[in-house]
Amino acid sequence: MKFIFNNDQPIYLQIVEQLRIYIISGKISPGEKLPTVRELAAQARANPNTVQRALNILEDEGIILTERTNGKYVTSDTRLIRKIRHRLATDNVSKYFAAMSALGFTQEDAIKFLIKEE
Amino acid sequence: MLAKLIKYDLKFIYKQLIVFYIILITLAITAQLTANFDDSSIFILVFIHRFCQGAVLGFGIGTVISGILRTWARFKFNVYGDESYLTQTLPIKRSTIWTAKFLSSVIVILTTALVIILALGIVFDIPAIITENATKTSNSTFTIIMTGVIFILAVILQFIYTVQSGFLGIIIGHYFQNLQTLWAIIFGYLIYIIGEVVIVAFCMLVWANFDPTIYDALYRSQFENLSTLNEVLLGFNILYCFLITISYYASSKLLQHNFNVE
Amino acid sequence: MPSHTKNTKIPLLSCQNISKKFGDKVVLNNINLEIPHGKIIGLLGQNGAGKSTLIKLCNDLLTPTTGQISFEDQPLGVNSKLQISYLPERTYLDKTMRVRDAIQFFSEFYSNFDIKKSHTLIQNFQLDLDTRISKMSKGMQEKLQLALVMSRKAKLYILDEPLGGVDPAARDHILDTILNNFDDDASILISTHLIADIERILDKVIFIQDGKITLQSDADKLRARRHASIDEIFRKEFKNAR
Repeated sequence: MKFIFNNDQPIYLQIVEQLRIYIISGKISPGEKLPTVRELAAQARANPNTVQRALNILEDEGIILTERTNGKYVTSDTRLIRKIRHRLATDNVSKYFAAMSALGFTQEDAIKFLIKEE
Repeated sequence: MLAKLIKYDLKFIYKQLIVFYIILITLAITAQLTANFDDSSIFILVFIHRFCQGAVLGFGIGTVISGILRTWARFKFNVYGDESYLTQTLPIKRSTIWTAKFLSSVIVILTTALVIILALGIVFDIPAIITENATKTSNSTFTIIMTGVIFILAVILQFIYTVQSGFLGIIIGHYFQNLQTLWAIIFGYLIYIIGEVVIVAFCMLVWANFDPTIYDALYRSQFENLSTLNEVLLGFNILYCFLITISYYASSKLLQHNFNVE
Repeated sequence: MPSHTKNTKIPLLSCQNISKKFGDKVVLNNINLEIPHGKIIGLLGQNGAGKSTLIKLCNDLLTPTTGQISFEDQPLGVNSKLQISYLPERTYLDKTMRVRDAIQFFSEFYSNFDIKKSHTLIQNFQLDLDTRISKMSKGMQEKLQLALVMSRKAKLYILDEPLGGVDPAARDHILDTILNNFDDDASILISTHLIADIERILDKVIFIQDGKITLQSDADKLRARRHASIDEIFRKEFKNAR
């Protein structure tokens, strides 16, 4: 798993975002076992404490579960995953509109532009 | 841990010293092998014999000096220099590091003395010299051997004290911010001189006061017989042992107090 | 003490009111800091700020002018030296040794030295066991020392400029080695002026300038507060001080 970090923002938030995307997009399947904190930290080239912090947040969201002695797993709750996917997609849409508005597009024009480009 | 420290100290010092030892013994053997030709007309062999004989003595002194300098260098680099970043962070007490340095210096001096005696023994026929002197003077061979042994011991203790003075000088030198080597030399020399003066003063002022034969020996250079000389030398040796013990403890304490690497 | 018990109440290393003078020059002025268990901490500052001096004090290579340093609530001594694995900025090995001799030396004096691990790290760094240290480049010597230091199972690793003489290409490899080779409860104190290269792995940062600590903070919290990288924050602080 590849992670790309920007030193300008809290590292743990970036891990949260990128891990979340891997899970949402299915790169890590529902119910799949996650690598250990240390393995993730090694892959991400990040601090294990930071990785743990990120995992805690994802666990609070419900997207990750801890099975006592077995480690951490992605939730099998596909409904939850879909819900979060929808939320993230909506965020992307808002970002798109905000960015296009800064260029002078109205929301309608922005949609038209999008359809045309596809 | 102590043994391991000593091992590495000796490895470093002997790496250079062993060459001196080998050359010294080679010179001695060469001198001995060419001894039979001393009267012969083959000039080159006579020359080699005489040269090697002299060289054994000269090179012997060179070996001692080399050994002492190498020991001091090891102490400085290993205790205060770049290597100290490793030595001083090993899980051992600073006093143990000191004891190792002290013991390895004693071992080096003892082995050097042994090699020199061996070399001299190869070149000179010592038993013959002893019996020759025994018949010339009124002393028994035993007394002459005793003199030899005590004298060798005195020389060894002298060298041990010299090395100790150097160590103590290096330790004191490192209390200064700058010119640490210069201060080390100054203090090392001072400590050496003071030690010598103290011993001589004690002998001449205290010991001579209580013992008339010693008084005669030291003030008038009158030696009744060889056993008086032995007594004087033995006295010196005992005093040197005290001096070395004091400098050992002083060094150990000072090394631990306000220690700073270079 | 069994390795699985962790007394997190006592800090691993604690510096209280530490000052260090060399003659008239004050190099460190009233330093107070604590290193907890299980964290990677960056001691960040320009060259000459006092980082190396502070680290030498923590390793009992220098004596503080005032103040005291304790390791697990005890004064520095044999135990702290066993539990601290120190990588200095300079080469401290006997240069006439070969790599295998250095490994031998470490295993003889440190009961917590892992010989197998040292061989693995030596291989990773593409060093040869029979090369003499004097024949190695500065970069190779530093990698060797890092391999030896990380092969010890210590409670605290103190690394003084671990990226110092290493070319940029090898820096990631060095960081990986540091990250992948310490125990869960162990802490790492990294001192460096190359902040941008190292900041991503830090839990906590300590800024030091002209012998004083100017800032101590959790790294991510600092980023969140100032919306900038630690490197940028440091440069700003440094400019302000001037």
